[in-house]
Amino acid sequence: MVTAMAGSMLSPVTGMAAKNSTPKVIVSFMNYTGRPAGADRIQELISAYTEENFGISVELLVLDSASYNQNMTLMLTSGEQVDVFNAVTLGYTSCVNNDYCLDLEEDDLIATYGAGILETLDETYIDACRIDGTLYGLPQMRDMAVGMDCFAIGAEYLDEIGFDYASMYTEESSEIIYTDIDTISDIFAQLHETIPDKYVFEPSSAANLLAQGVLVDQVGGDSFGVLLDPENSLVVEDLYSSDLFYDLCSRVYAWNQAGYISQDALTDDTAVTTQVQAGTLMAYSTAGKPGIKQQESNLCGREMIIFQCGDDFMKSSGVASMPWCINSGTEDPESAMTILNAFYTDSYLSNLLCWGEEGTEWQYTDDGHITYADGIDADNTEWYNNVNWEMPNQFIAEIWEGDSLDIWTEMEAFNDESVKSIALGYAFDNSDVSSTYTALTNVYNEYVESLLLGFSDPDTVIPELEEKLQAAGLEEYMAAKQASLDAWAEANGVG
Amino acid sequence: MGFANFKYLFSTTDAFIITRNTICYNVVFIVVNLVMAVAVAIILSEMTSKWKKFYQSAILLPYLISYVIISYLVFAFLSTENGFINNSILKPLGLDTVSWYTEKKYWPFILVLVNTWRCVGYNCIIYLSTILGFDRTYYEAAAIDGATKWQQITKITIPMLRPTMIMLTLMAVGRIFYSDFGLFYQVPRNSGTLLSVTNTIDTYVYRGLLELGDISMSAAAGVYQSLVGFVLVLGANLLVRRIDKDSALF
Amino acid sequence: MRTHEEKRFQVFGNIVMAILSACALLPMLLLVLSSFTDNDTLVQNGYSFFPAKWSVAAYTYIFTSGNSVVQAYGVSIVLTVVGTACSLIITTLLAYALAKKGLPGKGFLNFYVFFTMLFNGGLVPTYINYTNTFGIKNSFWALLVPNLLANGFNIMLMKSYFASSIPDEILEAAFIDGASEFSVFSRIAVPLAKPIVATIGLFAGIAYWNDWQNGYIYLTTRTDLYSIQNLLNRMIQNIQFLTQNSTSVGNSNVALASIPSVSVRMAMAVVGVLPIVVVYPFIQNNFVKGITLGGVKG
Repeated sequence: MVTAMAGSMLSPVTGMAAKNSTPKVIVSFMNYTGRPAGADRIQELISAYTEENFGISVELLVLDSASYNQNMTLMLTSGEQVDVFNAVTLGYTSCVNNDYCLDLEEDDLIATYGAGILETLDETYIDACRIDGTLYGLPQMRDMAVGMDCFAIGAEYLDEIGFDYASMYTEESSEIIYTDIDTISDIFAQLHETIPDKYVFEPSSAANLLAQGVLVDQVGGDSFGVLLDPENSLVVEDLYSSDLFYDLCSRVYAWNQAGYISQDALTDDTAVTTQVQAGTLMAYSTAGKPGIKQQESNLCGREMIIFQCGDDFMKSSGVASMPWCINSGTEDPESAMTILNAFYTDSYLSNLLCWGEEGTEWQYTDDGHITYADGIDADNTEWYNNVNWEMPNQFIAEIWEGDSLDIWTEMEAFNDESVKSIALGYAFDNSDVSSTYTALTNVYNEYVESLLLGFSDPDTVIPELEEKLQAAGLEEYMAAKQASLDAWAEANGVG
Repeated sequence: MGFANFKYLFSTTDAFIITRNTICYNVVFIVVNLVMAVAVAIILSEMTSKWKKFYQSAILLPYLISYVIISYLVFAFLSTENGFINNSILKPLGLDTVSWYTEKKYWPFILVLVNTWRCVGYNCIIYLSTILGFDRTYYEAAAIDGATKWQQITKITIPMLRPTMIMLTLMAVGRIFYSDFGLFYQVPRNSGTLLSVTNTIDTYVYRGLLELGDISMSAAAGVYQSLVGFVLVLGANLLVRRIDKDSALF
Repeated sequence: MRTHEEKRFQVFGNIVMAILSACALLPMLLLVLSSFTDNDTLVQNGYSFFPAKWSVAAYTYIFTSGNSVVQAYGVSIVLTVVGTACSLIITTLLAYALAKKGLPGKGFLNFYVFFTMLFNGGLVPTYINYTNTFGIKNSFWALLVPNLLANGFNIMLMKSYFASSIPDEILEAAFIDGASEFSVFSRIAVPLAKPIVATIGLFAGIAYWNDWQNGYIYLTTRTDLYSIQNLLNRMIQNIQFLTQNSTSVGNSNVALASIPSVSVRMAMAVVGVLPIVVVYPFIQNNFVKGITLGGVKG
C-alpha cells in the first residue's frame, strides 16, 4: 500500500507517467482446450515487443471453444473492452447484424494502419469478406479450399489385404492418391473380409460427411437450399431431394448394412482418430489439404494413406468463416488496427502466437524445421499450438518438423487452383426467417444424422425427411435465400 | 421487436410436441419423486439398523454426478455394441439385442428411471429432516393406545408431513415448464431419432439457437417458461388455500 | 405383537434400502472401475465391470502433469466451505425473521422471496449486473455471490420449519426470562432447528460444489479459479463442441486428440465426488431423532 502510493507520487518525477497512458489492445480468440498455462508469459512477450515498436500494450484473451460463443457475446453485448477478436463460432453475419464489427475502411483505417494486411492478403479473399460492400472482417492465411470426399485408411491394413498403394502416387501428388468411390468400396469389402474384428469405416462426423462428401455449395452457411452446381449456377435448390444426397446416403447405408460401421456410431462421441489409435477402426472420412497425410498419421499413431475421390473445392463461406474483426465499440481503432497489422506481417509475433516462446516451447532442428524444446512434449507444453489456422498469418511463422518446407507455397497453390464457387463471398442474413430456420434445424437433427451414418434406409426415410422439411417451411426459406443471393449477385456483377 | 421473438415457440408443428413432452415428464416426475422420496424418508426415519447411515449416503451419491458423466454411464449400459444390457443380460438369455438409442418407446421409462435414480436420495433429505423434527410424544401416545406401525405412519407421519409435501409440490409446479437440460439432452446423447420423445422446450431452444446465436430469442423462451409456471402456481396456491389455508405458500 | 410387527418392518425396510442402495451404487462402481481401466481397452470394449486391462494412468495424469486439477480441488473446497457458511447465515437470519408471527408486511415479503424463485432476469442482464455494476468478473466473488442470492427455496423451507416445529411458547418463555432477540435466535431457535440447518447446509454445500456455470461465464482470464466441476465440464463441452461443429472450425481431429481421454474424464468425475462422500457421514450426525419438547404440553 505504502509503496504503491509512494510509487505513484514519484512517477511524475521519474517520467513514468507515460506508462499509464499506453493504449492497451485486447485480442480475443479461441483455443480448443482453453487458456493455456503459458498464456500470461506469451502475453508479456508480445506486449513487450509491441510496446517497444508501437507503444501499444497487448492483452490476450484466450477462451475455450465451447464457451467462446457465450463469453464473447456477453462481453460484446455488455460493452466490456475487447478490441480485436476472431468471429469463429459467433457467425460472421450474426456479428455484423448485431453491430459488433467495425467498418475497417472507415476513415481509411486499414489503408493507413493496415497497409501490410492489404499486401499480404489476396484481393479476392478480402472481397469475399465484404457484406453489402462494406469490409467488416479479414480472412487469415490458411487452407480455404477443401479436398472433397477424402478417406484416410491405415497403411498396415492395406498391406494386410495386399493393396498396392505405393504405386498409385503420381509425380504431382506424392501425398494424396486420387481415385474413385468404387475403388474405395472394393478396399472396404476386402478389409472387412480379411479383418472382420475391426470396424472398417466411420465418418468423422455426420456434418463433416455432408460438407465433404458432396460437391455442393452450402451457400449462406446452412444446408437448407444449396447450389448444386456451384461453379456455374446461382440457382438455390433443395439438397435433400437431389440425386447427390441420395447417392451419398445410399452409399453409407450399403456400407452400414454390410457391417463396416459400428452400431454405436450414432451415440459414441469417441473421436475417429482415437479409435484408430486404439486399433478398433481402420478408416474414416476426412478433408484433403497439403500436409494432411502427416497430420492424420500423427493423430492416429500410425501411417495413414489418404485417398481423394472428389475435387478441391472452395465454398462461398470458406473464406469468411472465421474472420478477424475489430470491435465497433473499441475506443482506439487505430491501435487495434496497428496490432492486427503487426500480427499479419511480423514473423516474431506470428511465431509467438502460433508456436510459443523459442527455447521454452520450441527450438530449431538441423534442417530448418522446428520441434519441441528439450523436455517438452505434447502433454506438458504450456502453449498449445492447435489453432494455427485461426491465427492471422501462420505462413510467416516457422514450420513444424514433419511438414514439407514448401508447405505454404503448396497451400497457396492448393487454394488458387481449386474449384471456386460462383458465390464466393456471399453471406446470408437469415434473421427475417429465423423461426423457420429453427424449425428446419430441428427436422435436420431428427433425421439427417442417422441418414448420413447409414442407419436409415434412404428409400423410406428421405421422402419422410423431405415431407417434414416442406412442412417446416423449406420453400419459404429457400425463396428468401434466392432473393438475397440474386441481389448480391447483381450488386457484385456476378453470374 | 415485440412478440416476433416468441413466434418460433408457437408457430411450428414441433411446438405441441415439446410442450407435451415437457409437461408430461414433469407431472410424472412430480408424482414419482414425491412417492419415492416420502417412502424412503419414512423407512429411513424408522430404521434402527446400523446400516442406516450407509444407505443414506449411498442413495445420495448419484445426485453428485453431473449429467454428462451420467450419460456416459447410461451409454455403458445401453450401448448397442458393448453395453451391459445387450451383452450381459439379453445375449446370454438368447434374446435379440436392442438398439436402445434408436427405439423411441423405451425412452420415457428410461428417462423417468434415471431421474428417480438421481434425485431420490436428495429429495428424501427434506422429508427426513422434517420427520425427525416431529414431536415424539404423539407416537408414544399412539403406541400406548395400541396403534400398529402402519397406522402410526398413515395417521400421524403422513398428515404431519402434508404441509411440506404440498409446499414442495407447489414449488415443483412453478417450474413445470422447465426441464433439466442435462437429462433430456445429454442422456439420450443428442440422438436425432429420439427427438419426438426427448425434446423439451429447453432442448428445442438450445438446438435451434446454437447456430443463430440470438440471445433475445432464448430470453423470450425463458420469459415464456417463467410466466406459465407463475400462473400455474398462483392457480394451484389458490386451490390449496380453499382446502387447507395453512398449507398454502402465500 | 408389537415387537413382531416392529421386527417385520425393520426387515422389510432393510431389504428395500439395500436394493435401492445397490441400484444407486452400481453405476458408481462402473464409474470408478472405468477410471482405473486402460484407455485403449475402454475404446475397444466399452465400459465393463471386469476391465481387461487395469491402469492408473488417468490418475497420474490428473495429479502430476501441468494441469490444474489439484488447484481446482483447492478452489472447490474453499468455495464450498465459505459459501455454505455465508449461505447458512443469510438463510437462517431471513427465515427466522419471516417465520415470526406478526411481522409487518409478512405476506408481501413471503411473496417477494417466492417470486425470485420463479423469475430471474435472464443471462444477459444478470451478467451485465455482476460485471459492469458490481465488477466481480474474474474474481472469487463471481463464484460466491450469485449462489448466495438465488436462495428462495432454502429460505422457504427453513421458514416453514421455524414456523411449524418450534413452538412460540419456548421462545416466549425465553423472552420473559429477559433474553434479547439475537440470543433467543442463536441459543434456542437455531439449536432446535438442527435437522433443518443441517439439511440446508447440505443443500448449499452441494450447490456450491456442483456449480460450474458461474465459473464458465465469469472466469475468462483467471484459470487458477476454476473449480473441479468447472474444469470437468469445460473439458467435456469442448469435446462435444468439436464433434458437432467440425465444419466451422478446422483441424478438429487434432484438437480432439489433445483433450484428455475417456478414462481421465471418469477419473475427474470420481475425484469430484469424493469429498462430499467423505464429509456427508459427519453431517448426518445432525439428523438427530427425537427432540423432545418435553415442557410444552397443553
